[in-house]
Amino acid sequence: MSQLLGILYKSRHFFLFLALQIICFYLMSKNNVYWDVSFFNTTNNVVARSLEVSQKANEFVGLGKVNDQLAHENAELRKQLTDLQEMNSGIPGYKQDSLMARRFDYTVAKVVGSTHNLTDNFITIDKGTDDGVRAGMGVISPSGVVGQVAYANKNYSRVYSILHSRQMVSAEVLNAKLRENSTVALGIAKWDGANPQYVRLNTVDRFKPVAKGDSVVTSLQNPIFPPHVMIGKISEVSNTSSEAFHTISVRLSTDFSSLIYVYVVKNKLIESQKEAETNPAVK
Amino acid sequence: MNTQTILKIAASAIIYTLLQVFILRNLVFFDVAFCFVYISVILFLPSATPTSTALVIAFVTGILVDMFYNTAGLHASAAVMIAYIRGFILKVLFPSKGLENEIVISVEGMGVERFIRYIVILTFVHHTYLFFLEAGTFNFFLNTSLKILASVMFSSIVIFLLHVYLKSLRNS
Repeated sequence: MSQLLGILYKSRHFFLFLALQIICFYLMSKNNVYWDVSFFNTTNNVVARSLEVSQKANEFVGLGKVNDQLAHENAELRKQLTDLQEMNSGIPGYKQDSLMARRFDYTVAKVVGSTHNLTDNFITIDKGTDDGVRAGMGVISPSGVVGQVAYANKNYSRVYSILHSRQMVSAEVLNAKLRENSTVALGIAKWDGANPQYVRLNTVDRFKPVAKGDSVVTSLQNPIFPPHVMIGKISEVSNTSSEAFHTISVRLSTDFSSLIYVYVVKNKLIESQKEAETNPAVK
Repeated sequence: MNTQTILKIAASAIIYTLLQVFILRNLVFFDVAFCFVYISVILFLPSATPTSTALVIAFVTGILVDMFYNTAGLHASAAVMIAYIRGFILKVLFPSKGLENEIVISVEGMGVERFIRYIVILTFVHHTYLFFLEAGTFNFFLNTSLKILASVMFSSIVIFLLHVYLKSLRNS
C-alpha cells in the first residue's frame, strides 16, 4: 500500500497536470452558454467593464473611419430618397420618367477650408474633377444647402458658399395653407452680407400666406439642387402695404462654422435641360 | 521560495496578462501572426520552481487570458502543457547542470543563443498545441501551420524583447 502511495507521490506532477488538463477540456466542451452563466457570473462585471474600456479606446481611434463610412452611407441614402420622392410626386396624371427621377448623384466631400464671416465666402473641398466635380454643381450638407461649385481642379474644388454676394438660390416656402390652396410661394434666397446665420428671401408675393416658422426649401424650378432641400426657417416677416413683396429673413439651417462633410450634387440631365432652354431654333 | 520571488512572479503575471489582454489581443498581423506573450509568465519562472506550482500558476494565468478571449479552457490547457514540459526541456538543453547548480533563466544565465532556443522551443510547442486545439481538426493543416510559424516568430521576438526590456527596467 505504501509502495502504491509512493508511486502516486512520485508522479504527483503528472497527476496534477492530468487533472488540470481534464478541467480545461471539460471547460472547452462546455464552452457555450453554460460556461458564461456558471463561471462568469461573479467575474463578469470586471471583465466586461475592462473589455468595454479597451473597446472604447479602439472606437475613439477609429472614429474618423466611422465618420467616412457614415457620410458615404448618407450620400447613398440621400440619392435613394430623392429618387423615391421624384418617382412618387403625388400629382394624378403625371408620371415622372425614371431617367428624370434618377438624375441626381451625390459625391461625398470633406471640407478642408472655409470662411463664413467675410463678404464673399468660399468653402474648399477635397474632391475635384477626378471625382466628377465640375463648376456649377450644387453642394449641400446634411443639414441644408451650402452653395455651388465655383471652380474645380484635379483634386480640390472651391465652392461659393450661400454666404457669397453673388450666390442666389431659388427657394420655396412650405406651409399648410399654401398646400391647401395648392399654390407655391417662390422666391430667391440671397445673403445680405450682414449676419452669417440669416439670409434674405426676396420676391415672395405679398398676398401669399407666409408666417414666421415656415420652412424654406429649394424649389422645383432649379436644375442645380434636388427639390426640397432645407435652406432654413423663416425668422421674421415684415410687409409694408406699399410693397409688392414680403421682406423675409430666413435663419439658415446649415451652420457654416462647423461644416465637415458635404455632398456635391450632380444633375445628369442639366445639359439636356440647358439645351432645351436655349435652343436657337426657338425665337 | 521566499516572499520576494513570489511577489516578482505575481507582478510579472499581472503585467504580462494585462499586456496580452488589452494591447496584444488587438495586434494581429495579416490575420496569421498572433502574439501570445502571456506565456512569459511560465517561461521565466525560476528553474527551481516545483512543477506542481508551475502548473497551478500556468492554469490561473491561462484561465485569466481565456476569460478575455472567451475561449474557456483553451489557453489554460496550452499553458499547463508548457508548464509541464518545461522541466524536460530545461533538462535536455542543460544536461550538465543538475540540482546542485541551479540554472538562471535569463540572457546572462544561459547565453543569448541558448536563451533564444529555449524561448523558441517552448513557444513553438505552445502555439502548435493551441492552434491545433483551436482548429479542432487537421483539415486546415496548411493554414494552421502558416499561423503557427508566423505566430511563433512574432511571439518569440516580442517575448525576448519584453524580457530584456523589463530586466533593464528592474536593474536601473
